[in-house]
Amino acid sequence: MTDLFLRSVFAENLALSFFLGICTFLAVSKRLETAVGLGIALTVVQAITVPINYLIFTHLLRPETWAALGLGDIDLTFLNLIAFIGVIAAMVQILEMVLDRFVPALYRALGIYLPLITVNCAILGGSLFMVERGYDFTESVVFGVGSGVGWALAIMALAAIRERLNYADIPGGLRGLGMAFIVTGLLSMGFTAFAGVGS
Amino acid sequence: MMGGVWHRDTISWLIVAAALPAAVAAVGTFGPLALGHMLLALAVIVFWQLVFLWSRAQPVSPIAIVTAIAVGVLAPGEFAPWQIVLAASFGTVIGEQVFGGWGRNIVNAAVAMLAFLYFAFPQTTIPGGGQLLALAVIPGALMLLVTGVLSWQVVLSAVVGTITVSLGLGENPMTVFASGSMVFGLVFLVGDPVASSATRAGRWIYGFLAGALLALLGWTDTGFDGPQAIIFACLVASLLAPLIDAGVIAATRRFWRPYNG
Repeated sequence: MTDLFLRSVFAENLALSFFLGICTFLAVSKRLETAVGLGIALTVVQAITVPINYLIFTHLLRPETWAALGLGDIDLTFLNLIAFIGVIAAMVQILEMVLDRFVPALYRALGIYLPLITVNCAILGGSLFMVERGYDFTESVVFGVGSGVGWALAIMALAAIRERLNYADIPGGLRGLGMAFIVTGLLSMGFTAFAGVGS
Repeated sequence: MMGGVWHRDTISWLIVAAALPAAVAAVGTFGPLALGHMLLALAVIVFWQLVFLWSRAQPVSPIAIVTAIAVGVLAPGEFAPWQIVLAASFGTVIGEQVFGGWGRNIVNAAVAMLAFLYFAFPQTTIPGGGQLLALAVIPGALMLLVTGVLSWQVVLSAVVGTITVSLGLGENPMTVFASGSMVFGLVFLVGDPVASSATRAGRWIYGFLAGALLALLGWTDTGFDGPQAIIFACLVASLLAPLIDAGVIAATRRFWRPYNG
């Protein structure tokens, strides 16, 4: 379990080795404070949706479930994208209401990117990896938390670096997004080092 | 001369002076191969510094010599000249020049260079230097510690980190410190004043992280695999250094109360 956790945080980091959720990763990493907020929000959503999607997939969609009930061969797995997105959208909606009520500053700072967690590839990707790799319930909880933490760590590291780059003297054409791409490249190069550890 | 003696290039000349004995020892240990790599890398780095000097008036820095020495010490393998040229170009441009030159970069140029080299050409084997190289690094390290260029917190916590994790894995930590390449890496790459953390508490965390990663990545089933481990440990640690600093600053701000507040 520790092994799976560390692997989903470092070696198989969703942002830096699968390049999932890169749109928000690059757009919301200008300031560390918002990056921390988004990282936490994404971790919460990921940690809840992956296990829920596991339960839905295993107990409603798989043909084995219906066969066990004696209902013949009903295969609902073609519905998994719709089901997963539905769960994610509902979760984000609830999170949005909670943030609006209790942390309005963060709610305003995240702006459009909070509802966009719904279509964040890291979230849907996490659920699809869970299906593809055949995790059980405990593993899906660990993987959900781990991949969320890994993504949050990556965006926080990038945001801290970008804040420090205010003191750098970057060629005009590279300022902003261009530099973010270069730093993302360096980060992802660093994280590949973990590929050999714990495998 | 403006701004007194302690300007940017005083620091880089000090680091260059500290690295020279290690360069001599590396050439003695690895032979003309290491010297060739150093000179080729130096030529490439100077070329790129001149390109940036010419195109956007970015000051050149003697730190190029240290970067070139690091290539000779940590990559004395059978690399083809074009591989060295490619890696040196990547390291100096992406690791240093696009940030505005030495002093404004976030990773050490030598680390970016060697990470590229190991990552792109993994089949080349790299010998680790022996105790002679380790001894040659010591006087330079002492000089940097006395002048305050090298932070003792970083060195001490990196050593502690390596020992802790090595013992945790059930290995002998002395193997790490007997290797000259590791000592060189700890002093000149992990201890790089630009790429490491800047806050005092941050330096302890940064050093420990680098040392722990060195042991974690280095120990394999077949023994200690040095050069790759030190480079990637240093790369990850220096990329996380700004985050560590930001965390330390946020924590300080929370717990520190002004007297009249």
